Amino acid sequence: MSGPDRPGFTEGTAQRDAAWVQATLAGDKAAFGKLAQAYERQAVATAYRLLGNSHDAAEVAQDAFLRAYRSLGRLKDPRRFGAWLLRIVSNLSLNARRSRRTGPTLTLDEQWGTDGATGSDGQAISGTLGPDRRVEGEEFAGVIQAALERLPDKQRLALVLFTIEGWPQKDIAELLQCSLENVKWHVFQARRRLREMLGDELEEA
Amino acid sequence: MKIRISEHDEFLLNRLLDGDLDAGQEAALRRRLQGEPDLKAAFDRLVRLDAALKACRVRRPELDQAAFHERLMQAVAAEPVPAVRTFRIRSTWWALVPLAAAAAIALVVWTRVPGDGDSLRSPPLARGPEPSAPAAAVPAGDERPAGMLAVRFVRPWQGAEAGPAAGEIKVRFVRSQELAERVRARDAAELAAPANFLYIAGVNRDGDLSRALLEAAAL
Repeated sequence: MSGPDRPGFTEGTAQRDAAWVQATLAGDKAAFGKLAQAYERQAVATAYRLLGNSHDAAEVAQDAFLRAYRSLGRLKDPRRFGAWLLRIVSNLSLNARRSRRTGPTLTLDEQWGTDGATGSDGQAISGTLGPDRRVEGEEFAGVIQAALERLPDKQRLALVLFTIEGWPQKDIAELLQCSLENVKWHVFQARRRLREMLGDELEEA
Repeated sequence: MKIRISEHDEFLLNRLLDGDLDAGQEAALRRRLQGEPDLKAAFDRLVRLDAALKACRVRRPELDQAAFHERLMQAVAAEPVPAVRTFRIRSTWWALVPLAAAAAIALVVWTRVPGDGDSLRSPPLARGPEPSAPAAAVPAGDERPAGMLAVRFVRPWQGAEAGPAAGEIKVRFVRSQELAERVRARDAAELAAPANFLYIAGVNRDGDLSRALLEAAAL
């Protein structure tokens, strides 16, 4: 793990985090400030990948840090603060997504301008892009984001964190509290579904 | 373009993409990619999907980290110091002792081989706490039974004189430093050979999770 927004739960960071957690529990709020600085970008980036916009991501990350602070005394292994925090971020992001579903959401059809059109059989268009609707660059990234939104939670988390955020699979397993093999399976299934959703868009130009 | 490959092959392609195959598996799959157009097309499509996803990395969230941090620390400043959680069973849980006891597991410490001295004792299966260690925190002199427990036991050595290989005894919770000796004496008196010690984790009357010594009430 090398990027600043990616987790690196090394022995060094584990010991550092444990010391900061203990100091925080002893009343040193500045120590929690150090923990926050170490994980702010990761927390916001993770929430952003799951929520799709910066504002919501920052809100969720703030909430996650506060909850982590309040619950710090219940953290069983202070060395695992980072994974624990990001698990809170992920859970809050998923909750935010679920509550957001009651309101208007950006669907694939909206992204692609089909406006809820139906196919010749009268069924709603499944969301497969036609070759003539090929989009480029940022717009295509938006299409990917919209497709990701339609994946089941665990599949989306596993794929986003592994492929986009570059997390090691073992850290994702810890986050999702499942086995490494389960992570691989979630990633596999997520790619399958994305491929089906994106259809011809993925064919070579 | 319709590509038909098996789910197993599709999974293998994913593992190839993620670098999860060992050298032999990878070489075999790459050989197949040379000769199977559908497999090759599926892999190319997978690579394109992966590239499209990785391209999303450039879309970073807009974050004013200084403002974010300041806002967070202002909120933290208004919070009390987080309380450290201590593990303690509430005293009301004392009422659940019979249930806890039913779920507890007895540990057979050792069995003496009949006819031989101490040097031939069979090795311990597991060792419970020493009898001299502090017993459950029941006030001294208070020998009221705290609950009946059903304890299963097994004997690692089975011989004609050893008694039943497995069974169940009823025990009651008491505070007793001499319990181990009592159990040993009782065993020795009633059966020719075995001297099994039974220990069990229990819950004392103050609600602390602790080992508790048990007295055999019936065999």
